[in-house]
Amino acid sequence: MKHRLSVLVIILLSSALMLFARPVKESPAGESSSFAVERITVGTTAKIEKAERGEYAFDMLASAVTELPLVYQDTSGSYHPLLVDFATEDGVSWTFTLKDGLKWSDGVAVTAEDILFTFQHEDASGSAYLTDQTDSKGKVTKAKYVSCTVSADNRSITLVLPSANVRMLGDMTSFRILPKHIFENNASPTVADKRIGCGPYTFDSFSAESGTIVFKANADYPETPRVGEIVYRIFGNEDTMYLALQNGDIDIVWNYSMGVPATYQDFLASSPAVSLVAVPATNAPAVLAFNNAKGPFADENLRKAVSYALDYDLFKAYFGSEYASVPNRGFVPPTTVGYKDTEKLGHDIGKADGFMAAAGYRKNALGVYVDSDGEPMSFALTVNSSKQTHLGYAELIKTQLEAFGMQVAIDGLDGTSYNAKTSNRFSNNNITTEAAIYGYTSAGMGMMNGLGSIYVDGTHAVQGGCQVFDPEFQAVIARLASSRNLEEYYVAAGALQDFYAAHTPLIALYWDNLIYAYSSGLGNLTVDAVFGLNNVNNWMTISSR
Amino acid sequence: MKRRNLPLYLGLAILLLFVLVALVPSLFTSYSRKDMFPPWQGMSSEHFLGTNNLGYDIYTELIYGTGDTLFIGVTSSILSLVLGLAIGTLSSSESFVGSIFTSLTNMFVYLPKLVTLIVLSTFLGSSSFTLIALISAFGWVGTSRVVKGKIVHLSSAPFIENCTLLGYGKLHTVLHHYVRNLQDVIVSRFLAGATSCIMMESTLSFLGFGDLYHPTWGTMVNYAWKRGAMLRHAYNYLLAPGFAIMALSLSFYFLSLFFEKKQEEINL
Amino acid sequence: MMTKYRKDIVTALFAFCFVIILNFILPRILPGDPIAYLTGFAEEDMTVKQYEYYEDALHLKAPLPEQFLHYLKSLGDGSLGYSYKKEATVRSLIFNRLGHTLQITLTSVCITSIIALVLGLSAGLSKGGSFDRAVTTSSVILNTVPTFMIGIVLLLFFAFHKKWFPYANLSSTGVRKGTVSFFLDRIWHLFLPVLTLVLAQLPSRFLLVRNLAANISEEKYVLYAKTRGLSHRTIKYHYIFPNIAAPFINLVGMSVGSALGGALVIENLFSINGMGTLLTDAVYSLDYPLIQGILFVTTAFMTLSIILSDGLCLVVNPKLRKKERTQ
Repeated sequence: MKHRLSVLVIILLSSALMLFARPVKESPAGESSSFAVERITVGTTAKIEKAERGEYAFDMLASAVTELPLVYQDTSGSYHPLLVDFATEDGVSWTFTLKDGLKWSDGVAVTAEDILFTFQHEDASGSAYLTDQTDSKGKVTKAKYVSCTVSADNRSITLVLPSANVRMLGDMTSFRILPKHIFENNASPTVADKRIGCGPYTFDSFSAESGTIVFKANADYPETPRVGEIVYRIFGNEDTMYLALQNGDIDIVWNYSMGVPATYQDFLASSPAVSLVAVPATNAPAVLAFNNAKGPFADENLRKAVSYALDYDLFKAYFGSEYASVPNRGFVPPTTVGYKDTEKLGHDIGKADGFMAAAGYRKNALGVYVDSDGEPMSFALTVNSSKQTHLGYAELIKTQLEAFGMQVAIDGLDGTSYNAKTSNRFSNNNITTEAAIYGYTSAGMGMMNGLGSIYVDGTHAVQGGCQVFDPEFQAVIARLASSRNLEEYYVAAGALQDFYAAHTPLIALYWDNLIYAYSSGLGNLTVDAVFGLNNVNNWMTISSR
Repeated sequence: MKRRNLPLYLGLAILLLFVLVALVPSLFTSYSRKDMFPPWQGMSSEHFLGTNNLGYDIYTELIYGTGDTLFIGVTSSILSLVLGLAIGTLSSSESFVGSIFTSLTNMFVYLPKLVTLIVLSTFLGSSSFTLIALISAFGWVGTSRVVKGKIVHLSSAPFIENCTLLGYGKLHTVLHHYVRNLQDVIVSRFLAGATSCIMMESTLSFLGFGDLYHPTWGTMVNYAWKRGAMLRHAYNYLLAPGFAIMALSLSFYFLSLFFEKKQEEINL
Repeated sequence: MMTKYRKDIVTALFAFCFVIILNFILPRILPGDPIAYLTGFAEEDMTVKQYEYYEDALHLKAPLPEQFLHYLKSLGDGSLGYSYKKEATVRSLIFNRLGHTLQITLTSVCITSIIALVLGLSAGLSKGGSFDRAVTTSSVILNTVPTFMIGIVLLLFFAFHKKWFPYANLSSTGVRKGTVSFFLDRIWHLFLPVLTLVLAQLPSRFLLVRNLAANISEEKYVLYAKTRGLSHRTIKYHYIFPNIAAPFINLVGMSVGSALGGALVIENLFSINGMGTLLTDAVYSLDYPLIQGILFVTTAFMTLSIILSDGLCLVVNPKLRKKERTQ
């Protein structure tokens, strides 16, 4: 008995000891008391393995601290110089001039040759910046730029495009330059090499066990930031991340091209420790895309029927923030360059019924739409089941359409299988969905000719989910590609939106702003159109209350 | 007398309640599964367990989820039992066939269960039937080992020897003597198997596999976990399905307790 | 000499070979184009040269038997293959994470086994007594709670509500490795995950030990020892324990396997980057080499622990050794 008692006491004591094993929080080094804000902690759910250049997730993250892109875009859509000043007269020839005083973290100055080298380096792994690329099947990708010349003083570079491209700067918002003196003729750069950057911060440390990446202010950068230390904390799931924000363990939440999910918005809004900022979005978070070439939705009438059968107010209410709105048939959000007002999507059962009739379907006694053979109208809705919000959209669509009279089977696939079914590249040009739920990023919406065309165009090498091969569509795309100035682009963009409205190849379920969350103790934040709260300019303006 | 039967009554009562709920869900709730109300409401007299992120009544989801959970759990345990019996019997034979099946059983013991199940479900998709097939594909191992052990034990029993001496046909021996003596093994393995199949199903559902439009209890916890219930302190959403799983497992346990006690009495 | 043990090892090796083949086949039946995932779906552009380079490096154009040979070679030279997606050898990726998973798994297996042994022996010896009934009842109830429920409840109460323990990761920021505070900090982070796994596994282990002990307790020599007036402790550890040592060690060996499965769920809940999250990542991005490597390592681990425990049984129990010799 005594023996058992002593064992119990030992167990209790050691458990109590656990409570006191909490580490003392280390405050940042003493010298940083000269900074207005000592440290900012950014929470993210990005998966970072090695924290070095070349790792996509890390590159995106480091765009705010060490691997700065050339230009940035503010929330009103205009572009501004970041690493370089830019100038053009005709939209064909662009000159980029490096800002003064930029140095790599090993002391070597940044020169225009680094930019040229970056193009060449990317081309060597198959990109088509300056050289045409031909694949094993003989398909040729033409070079993006006709020529790239370095100025005599090695401070500027002049790029010549094949034709005037009014939206060229968009690509430059994520173009990061490589240090030529490190990567040239170096087949295996060290890990330290891969962390060299030229921004206002330098890489300090990365710990996989605590999930943190630390950056310290760079004294050599021409401008002094207001924050002494930036710490990124990697979380396994969003719940714990937002909880950490509420508890004050982190200051800012960031994920590339993602805002606060709707499910947390109202809750965070009512929390005094958290502040939210809304930014008009250029992405399309909730898209119902039809396979226009194969399956039941090759029939335009059925696509139109669905577009009138859905109640868009419900999507707005359950998934959108207070800024959400019902989209137009023209599909693209109002922030898009070349946006044009088209007919708003609406809930109209009468019209939907009319389109069903035009497609040859009548409601039978049980309230199900059947065709002349008695076959019910049914289709499979493919959705990526690792995205909770997408699952929600799919459920709501199914509930509504079944109430309307169609039969919907939800085809919930894991990420891999979903990609294998819904994009040209991953399915080897064999897209087999009938309808699918997508979320399009801002980058994707603006890629190539913009307006989400890469997702609609069945001939696009990587995307092409909607499988549209119409000659009318291709003609409009050609006009977009060959626009010599903004006016021509606007006209062509308008034509594309008219096409979307007339033929309904895909439906946007709701438009919304992107909401970003940060700690209420901070003020004077700068939001970036591409990178949200994780951007260089933010560290220059931020203050703590 | 009465005390001995208490576990039986308790177990049966709970189990029958669940079966009733599964068969006639509309008796227990007036809402339909996909009726949408204001989301994230707390517990109230209108919504016993509150509503979830899509506004579904959680209590209703629980009621309708009973059928799905029970279906997968019971079907896979029956299947595991049948497979286990078959393979166990086959592996008890002393011929080459027996050694093949014994090796097969041992091999399955070495496979990492959950890990393989995850890779397989990714390939085969996540419908209820796939889940049943997968759970059964790994659930038979324990049963087959017990069955084999029991049959080997029986074969050397004197009364079996008597059967062959007396000239009874093999089929007769099997049907009348083996099966009758295996009854207790069958019952106890079925009940144990039911619990473990339910656990496996709920773990897989929690990890995100399974039919997502007709959520089982495990899937409900997955949704709660992934859709912000933790942040909102919506403990009702997080914990209620877990309690349901507990209750169901307990009912099977009570039943097995009763049969065990009965077996002890026979043995004494 | 030890023929049965040898036969067991041969079976284990066969099983292992079967599993290696299965590990090779499994990733290749997953749908999708593996190369397309290498540069990450987030990059909506893919260059031609990269595609062909990877196609070559992964030997995807080669016939299956040749691919299998490459796989075997990667196992042989220890690298376990190269993950192009994460740009590291599979071995380095796994070993980075394996440590984290093992910290949870092995710790909880040890703790669970010890507690199950101590409690099981006491309960088995005094079968039907009040101690036995109390512990058995609570075990049974605990056994019906799924692992993830235990984790969620502990997380909710101790980490979120009371804030006594952290809710994620293995270490805090700014604590330096190799120091005492690092060690204490690590324990502080491991406390809840290990507690979850222990609570999940303890009931079934306890019940098994208890039944084993109860059976032995009914033997005559135990009754004799009791009437001789030997203390309970002596009876438990000198009479009962040696007789259940073999099945107990077996039990411990098997529980490593189920602990690995439980660790998967726990890593999910506590945001710990271990093998579980690595596997989900690998499956999500169709990283063939990585999937193969993980399956291989997990199986090797399980097989090893079972063989070790079987061997330990033989060492520990002279009766079994004698039986082997006389066969």
